[in-house]
Amino acid sequence: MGEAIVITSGKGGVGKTTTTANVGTSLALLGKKVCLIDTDIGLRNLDVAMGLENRIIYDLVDVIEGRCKINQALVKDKRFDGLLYLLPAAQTSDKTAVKPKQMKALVNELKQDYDYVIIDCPAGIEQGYRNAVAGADKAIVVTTPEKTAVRDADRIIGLLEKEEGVEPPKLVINRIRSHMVHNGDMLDIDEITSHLSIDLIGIVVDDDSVIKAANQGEPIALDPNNKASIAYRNIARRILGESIPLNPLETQQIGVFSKIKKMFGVR
Amino acid sequence: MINNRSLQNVMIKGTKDGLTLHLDDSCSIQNIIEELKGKLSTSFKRQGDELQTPVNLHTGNRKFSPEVEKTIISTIHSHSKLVVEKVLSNVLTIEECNQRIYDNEVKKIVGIVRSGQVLEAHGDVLLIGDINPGGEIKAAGNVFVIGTVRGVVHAGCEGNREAVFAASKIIAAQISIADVHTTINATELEDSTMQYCAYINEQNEIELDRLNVLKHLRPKLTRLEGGL
Repeated sequence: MGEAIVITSGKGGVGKTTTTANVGTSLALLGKKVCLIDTDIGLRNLDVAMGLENRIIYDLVDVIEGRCKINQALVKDKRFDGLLYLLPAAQTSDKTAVKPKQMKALVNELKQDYDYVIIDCPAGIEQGYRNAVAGADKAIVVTTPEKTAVRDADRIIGLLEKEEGVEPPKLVINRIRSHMVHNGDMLDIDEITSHLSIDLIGIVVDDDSVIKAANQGEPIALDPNNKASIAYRNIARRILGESIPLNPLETQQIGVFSKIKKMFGVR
Repeated sequence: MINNRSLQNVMIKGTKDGLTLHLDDSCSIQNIIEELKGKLSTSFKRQGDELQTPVNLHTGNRKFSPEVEKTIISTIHSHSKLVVEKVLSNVLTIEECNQRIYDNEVKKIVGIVRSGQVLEAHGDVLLIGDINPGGEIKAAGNVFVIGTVRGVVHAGCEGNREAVFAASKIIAAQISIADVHTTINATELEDSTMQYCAYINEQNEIELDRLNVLKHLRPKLTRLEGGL
């Protein structure tokens, strides 16, 4: 019996889909059987970020409405040997096509076969959010070091805390720009964590290659040397229960370290 | 003894607060009514257009139903010049008791009032945690926060102008007491590390002051049994 993790943020554009894609990929790299669910019905993206767009035949709404079996709708990621699957959202319906109860039943069914079911939540706090959270056991809140994103994260955390059956959410701070934090132009990590007062599970630096990778349909987590990739892999390892210290500059230090290793020709 | 008892179902006592009719709580209602008729028509007989005398009714360790209470009061009114002002009793109904607890309750909450959450209370609120931006506390009584305030606080929201608000740290807040509103920024405070309290001053404005003035401003806030 696996566990379901919902990835949410309240605000749009902070990196929910990117985080879902990369955490899912990282978990699969670590040998876990993972199923990603895109619940952003009407505005699906996760398939694009994963590079699986062309292979969608059936979708979430088809499964819910009984037009196909779950296994028919699941898109297998061929880069992994049967470890990573995607259940895409429908593009032609809207969020009201699914009810929280149905989502819960679906997630429970998937949890039988997969170690991790990662649910990508749409922005907002309406029906789409309620659907995404319905079946989740755990929650990860993604925010960026911007006041607007932190406000919305605060709101979402309040809602998640009220949700029954969901463990206290964990926080991912995405798109940190160390030079801006250093100059005091960006909220720093301590400020965000003391404000939101939930446990931090990862810090991801802002990196151009994340966008490039998403455009190519190759999650950045597949690149072993990228700063952001290492951050996502660390999040996955923390989900598995490993204790990896949270250093605001962890990604950079590891980056330097791997550069030295490279110099000596060690990989 | 028996004789004496039957005569003493109704006792009339005069104190400096006025007259009180003490009704024995172990006899039947019929007895009380009979005795009231007899006693009152002799000692408090209505004479012409004489002024009516106010009286309190004390029912001892017994609580009458509203109907019985009405009968007794109308008996008194029709047989004497007395007017019942208050009905007293040593007994509280569970309802009244709960109402009192409810009104005087200090709601204690451990946690964070986050954006979009509104915490409402009929008495005082003691929050052990922060109020984040967009979070709100609304209380009919006082509001105390052990934590940082960045949100909205409304003390005395049902019109109690004596209500106060106190917090261990205020960074940015919108404070209302009864119908007076103000906004506060940490930059406006002399010392943001100090603990502040807010109250309505004589100019009808919300004033922010050091916590130790509260004791003199609102002595009733202290509810200490025994002594220090």
